[in-house]
Amino acid sequence: MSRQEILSWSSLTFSTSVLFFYLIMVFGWPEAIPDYSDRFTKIFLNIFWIALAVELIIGLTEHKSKITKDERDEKIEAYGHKYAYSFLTFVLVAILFQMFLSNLFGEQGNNYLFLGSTSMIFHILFVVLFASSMIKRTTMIYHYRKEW
Amino acid sequence: MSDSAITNQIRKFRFQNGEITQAELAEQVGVTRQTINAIEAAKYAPSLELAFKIADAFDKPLEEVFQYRK
Repeated sequence: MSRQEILSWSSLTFSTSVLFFYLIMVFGWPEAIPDYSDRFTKIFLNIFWIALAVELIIGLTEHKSKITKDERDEKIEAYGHKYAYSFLTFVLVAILFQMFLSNLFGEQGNNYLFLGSTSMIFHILFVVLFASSMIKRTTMIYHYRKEW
Repeated sequence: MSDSAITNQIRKFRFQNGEITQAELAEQVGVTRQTINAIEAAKYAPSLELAFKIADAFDKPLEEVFQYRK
């Protein structure tokens, strides 16, 4: 497993754990599911620290290794960027369209909002940011794994 | 990055050139060992520059090391 692939795995787990904490913090634990929040929080907290440590170690030792990234890594990263960018663009266009409709219909338009208030838009943007990072890393891991 | 249409003789030339390892070849041409492995298995088509560097490492012309499969 190359350093870039390890970095992809650690970055994916880091983004997943951050997203989990954020969703639990903002929306709380879903009522329909039995409350395992304590257990999950412990697991994700451990994952978070491990992923952070791995990313730091890779970052700090980057210059010591001779070759850490080459044209194949860059090509795989480009695939990841492509899908993450498409996802990000789609969500941003959806939000802009939503805001446009809201402004067009004024008060009445608020009944058709699927995003709700401005604070909800902020939460959605935050989630989308990390989700796009997860998409990028998942795509990269898929391409790294596909070759074996 | 599906199977490449470009085949190669890297494995053969590695053994003909003193059985150099993938890691040694990778270091010589400035890529990671995983990339050499992917090229050797025809899973990844290298850039023209890298292909020339690999051929140069074996002191062979490009067309002897890489072939295009129609």
